Amino acid sequence: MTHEPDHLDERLRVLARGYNAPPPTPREAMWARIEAERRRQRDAPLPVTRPRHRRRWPRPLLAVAATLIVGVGLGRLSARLDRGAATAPRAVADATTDGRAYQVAAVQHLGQAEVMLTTFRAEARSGEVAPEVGPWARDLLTSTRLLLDSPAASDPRLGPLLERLELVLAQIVQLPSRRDSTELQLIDDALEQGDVLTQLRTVVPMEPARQISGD
Amino acid sequence: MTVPESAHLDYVTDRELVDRVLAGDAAAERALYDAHVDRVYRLAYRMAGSVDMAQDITQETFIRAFQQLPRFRGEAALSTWLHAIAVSVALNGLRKVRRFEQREAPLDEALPVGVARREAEPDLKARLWRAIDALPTGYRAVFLMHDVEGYTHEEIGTALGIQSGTSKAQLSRARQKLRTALAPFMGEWTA
Repeated sequence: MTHEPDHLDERLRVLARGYNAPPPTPREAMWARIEAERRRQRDAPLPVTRPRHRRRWPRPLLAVAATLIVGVGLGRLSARLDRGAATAPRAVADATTDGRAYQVAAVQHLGQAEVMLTTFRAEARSGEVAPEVGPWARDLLTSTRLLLDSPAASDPRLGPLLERLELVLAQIVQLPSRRDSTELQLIDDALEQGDVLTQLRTVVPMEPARQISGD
Repeated sequence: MTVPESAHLDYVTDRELVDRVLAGDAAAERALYDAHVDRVYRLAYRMAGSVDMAQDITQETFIRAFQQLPRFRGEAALSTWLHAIAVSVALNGLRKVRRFEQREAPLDEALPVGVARREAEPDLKARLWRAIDALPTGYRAVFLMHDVEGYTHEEIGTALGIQSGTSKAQLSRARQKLRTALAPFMGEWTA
């Protein structure tokens, strides 16, 4: 008997077009709400980065952001970012001006993400991912989104990497408690193909005693 | 016939449109929205299966897009960039809500391929749709974007943060899962 995968796939596609078939786009209603929300953002007395009800940042997360910004090693990391530029590390006061502080915080955050993703990948390949990985990824996802709203996202190296990281972390966070090996493989594929870990290691400076397990 | 305010913007490039939006041109903002909202909404609805959620996702996508527009570098098409935001918003929304339309009966995923057992189920579509519901999130997104909505693997890759080769592999796996789920109907397929 001849197996005809293309024939099957085409017929599947024809039927699948009825799946969640979209109704006409309610353009005007949605545009009105988008405009209203953007007006509200502009008129809001405090900066609002995520205006939707799902996007409120509770105070503990704002504290996380503050911690990131004024974290230890600010001056040393700032100097590493200035490779090729003049010599002495900037003073902490200089380092806290606008983009620089956020860049430093972003690099620290990416270092934490690298540790988490390396751990996740090793465990995913062994077929058993620890339950604490989910909350870990969720915290990192929250911080990633904070940084995406900050000047760090404008950095040509950091911005795209933060965006890729957001997508990967969102997938990890979505894993059900019953970890399907297929889904773990999917995320591992995404890490592999998107080269996320390699990019993270390029951006994050190596500390002297730090060991990073190879892939 | 009323000519829309944004009609004069029909033939500008993505870059020109973005520059006009960033310069505060309200007509350009509306033109950007009009040019892309249908496809974004269709994708949102395919993934969410709910009018409220699809509108939520679409609105959030454009709100974020306007916020992040200064970061648009033009390396990908504006549509691709928008769809990446839409997918991220959709996946995040679905994670929180985890809504799937309730189907009539649980799907038996243990059906072996090639078994010539026929089920007396009249609604093949319903079975297929349950099988799509049951796909892992990433496979489902790739399947819906490619086979249902016609996105290229390059567009899917950008939206999901994967290589186009990975998108192809995931699509193949998704189709295999669906074929397995529909194995009892193989006789109908080849008839």
